[in-house]
Amino acid sequence: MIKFLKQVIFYSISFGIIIWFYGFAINHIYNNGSYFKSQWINSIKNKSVDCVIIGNSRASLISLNEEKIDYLNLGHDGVGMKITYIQLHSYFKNKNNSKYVLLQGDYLSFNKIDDKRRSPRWLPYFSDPVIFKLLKNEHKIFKLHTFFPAINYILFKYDWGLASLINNVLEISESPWGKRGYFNVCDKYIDKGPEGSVDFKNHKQDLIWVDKINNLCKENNSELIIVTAPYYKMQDSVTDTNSFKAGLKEKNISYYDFSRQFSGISPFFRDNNHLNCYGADAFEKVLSNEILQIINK
Amino acid sequence: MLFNSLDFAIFLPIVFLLYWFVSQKNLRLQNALIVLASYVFYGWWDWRFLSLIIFSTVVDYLIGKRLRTEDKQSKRKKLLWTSIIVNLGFLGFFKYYNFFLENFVDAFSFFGMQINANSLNIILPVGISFYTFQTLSYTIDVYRKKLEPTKDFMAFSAFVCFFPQLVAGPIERATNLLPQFYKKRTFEYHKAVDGMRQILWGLFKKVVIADNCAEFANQIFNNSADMNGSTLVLGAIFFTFQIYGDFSGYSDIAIGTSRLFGFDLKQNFATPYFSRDIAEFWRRWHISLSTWFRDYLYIPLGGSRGGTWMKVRNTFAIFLVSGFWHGANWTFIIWGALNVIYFLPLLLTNNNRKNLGVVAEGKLLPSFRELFAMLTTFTLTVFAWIFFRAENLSHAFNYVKFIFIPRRDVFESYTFTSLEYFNITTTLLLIGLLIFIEWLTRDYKHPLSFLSNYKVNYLFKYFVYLTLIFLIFLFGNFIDNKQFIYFQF
Repeated sequence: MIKFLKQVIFYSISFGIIIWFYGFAINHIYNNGSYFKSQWINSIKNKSVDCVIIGNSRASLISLNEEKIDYLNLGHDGVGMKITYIQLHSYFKNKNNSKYVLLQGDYLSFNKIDDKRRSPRWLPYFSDPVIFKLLKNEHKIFKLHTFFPAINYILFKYDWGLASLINNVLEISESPWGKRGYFNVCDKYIDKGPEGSVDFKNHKQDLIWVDKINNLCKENNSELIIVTAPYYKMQDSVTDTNSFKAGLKEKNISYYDFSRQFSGISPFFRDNNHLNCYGADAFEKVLSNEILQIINK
Repeated sequence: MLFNSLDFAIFLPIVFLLYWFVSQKNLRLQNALIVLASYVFYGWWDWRFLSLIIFSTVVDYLIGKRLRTEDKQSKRKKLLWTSIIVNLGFLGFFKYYNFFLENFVDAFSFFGMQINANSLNIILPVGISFYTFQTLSYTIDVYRKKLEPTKDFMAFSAFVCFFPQLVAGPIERATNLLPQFYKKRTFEYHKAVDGMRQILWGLFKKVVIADNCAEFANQIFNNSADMNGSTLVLGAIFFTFQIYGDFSGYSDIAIGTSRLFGFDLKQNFATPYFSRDIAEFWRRWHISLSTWFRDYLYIPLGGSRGGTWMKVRNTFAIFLVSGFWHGANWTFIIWGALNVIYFLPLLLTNNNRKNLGVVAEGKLLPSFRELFAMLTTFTLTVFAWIFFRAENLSHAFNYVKFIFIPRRDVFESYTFTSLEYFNITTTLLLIGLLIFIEWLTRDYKHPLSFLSNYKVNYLFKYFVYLTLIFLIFLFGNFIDNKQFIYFQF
């Protein structure tokens, strides 16, 4: 019996050690990759641009006139405000700078602090204390990442499966983010059409994360601009919108509301909240004009 | 509690240590610990249904006791029927009530009569089909005087609820398992090591093979109307390996776990996809159920002793009941019927016991004839699995239709992402690895048992263990634990 238990313990410990080393090895590989948006952002170094765009899926669809504005889109679908903050933090951390930071959002998205879904994509960067502090509670097991990274890579296979590992080592698939980082959804969603609508009523207003992002911008000599991208159909409350605008004005943050810019024009949307490529092209013109005016001031 | 869960990874060492260190000196205490551990294991899923197991245990124990003293045949028969009615009554109510009700209503409406009958929202207790058959085997064997009725209630309770095989088999016979509860178990190093190896192999089959195949089998079956023929064939092949990896993996873990506690369960799978005909397949697939039906249904019905008509009737009975045992759905009955169609020509030409040994015994490769026979049997099995997996009959028939009828319109409607293509290729390679290993070790009870040979180098053993554990970690889905398919039966 003792011999058996000794064997079980020996094998458990030796496999544990091997897997422990494996975790650090793949952490290093993923840290230097560029496939996921988190990796793509972290691969940008020593860059200086006119404008960076941050935020969720509605932000990731935004493009600007690249002949006149040098910009990067750091936005990604499925993220909340913590990762939105981290997008900008990671960009500045790597000695990049930008004159303006364009945060896409509204008083609904600024309340979304749940980042369970996309937080595993930031695992390779948990050695950064800011990122670790913000995301460590998104999944219980994240807290072990510093000591035993393998466990998170084993658990979050959706993001970090074998395909990811091979792709990061051999770079088989090119990063889908291209030069600017915006997400082109023209091919996939063109026929889907708008669905549903957003109910903006009764949402508690909270600008804590806007303040944090604004402070980060100031620390890096950048100016924060908030933009609400178009919706197909709106059901917001005038009182809430006005109070939101007043809140931003108090903080001296420029705000541009395009939420009704293409209201009811279904060929411009893939669903209620998201523009398709035609909508994104049309919005590019409108937004670029505004941004150019700000830059030329 | 699932074998591939963190709960079980904590539960098993605790029970193991208590079993061998605390209760080792007292047999009754050891059996009581098994009962307690088994009730915790089962209650982890839903403690309310423990009452069914306890009731079934008490009824069969008391009937067994009465059968010991009762000599009058008519009374013995009544006692046997009481056990059958109680056990099959539970099974019938929880598993088949809604099926019969719906079909009853449909049949009446077919003749223009409308009946208002509401189906009940019944939860199927996990493992009910397994433990009811196990307890029935006890009563039938006692009735037939093949087994001495037990006087030890604790041993009998442990036999009914023994946690490694409680929820998905193997369905043990009282003649094999019950006497093991009477004897003092002593720890055997080689048995325990081999048990660990079998657990490892079972986990590999479940986590690496079955769960990865399940990903694409589900995707293809759920979107079968949008898939082209070759993708549908691929879906059926994925399900073929999913169900094998899932169920035989469960059996391996169950047998391996039992060995850790000093018990020997019967082999439940013996490389069934290397069978050269469907009769051989059924001697190698879910052996504990096939032999159960053989001994308690086929042989009492007359077996193959009577004339041709009798043989055909009995074969139909055994396969249809086997299909129906798997679930209250016409798809399972058609699956059973297909197997009869495959089996009958062999039976009627007296070729059903032609391939009794291991294929290509002592050789590295099969002959062309053997390879052709294996591929034919495999193809027939894959085809039958389509019915087993389909949601309903129309889904199954459409699935089959779309395999054979080319449709130009579907090529654009469903596409896999490049990542999915990569994962499909990886899964096919893993299936290839499984086939390769099982082929090389087809003479053994489980592939890793060859490592018990003293000639095998220690470093090689270490390499095999490490590779399997690594594959389990690399491919296992530990967040969204996938249930074993056979839990639903």
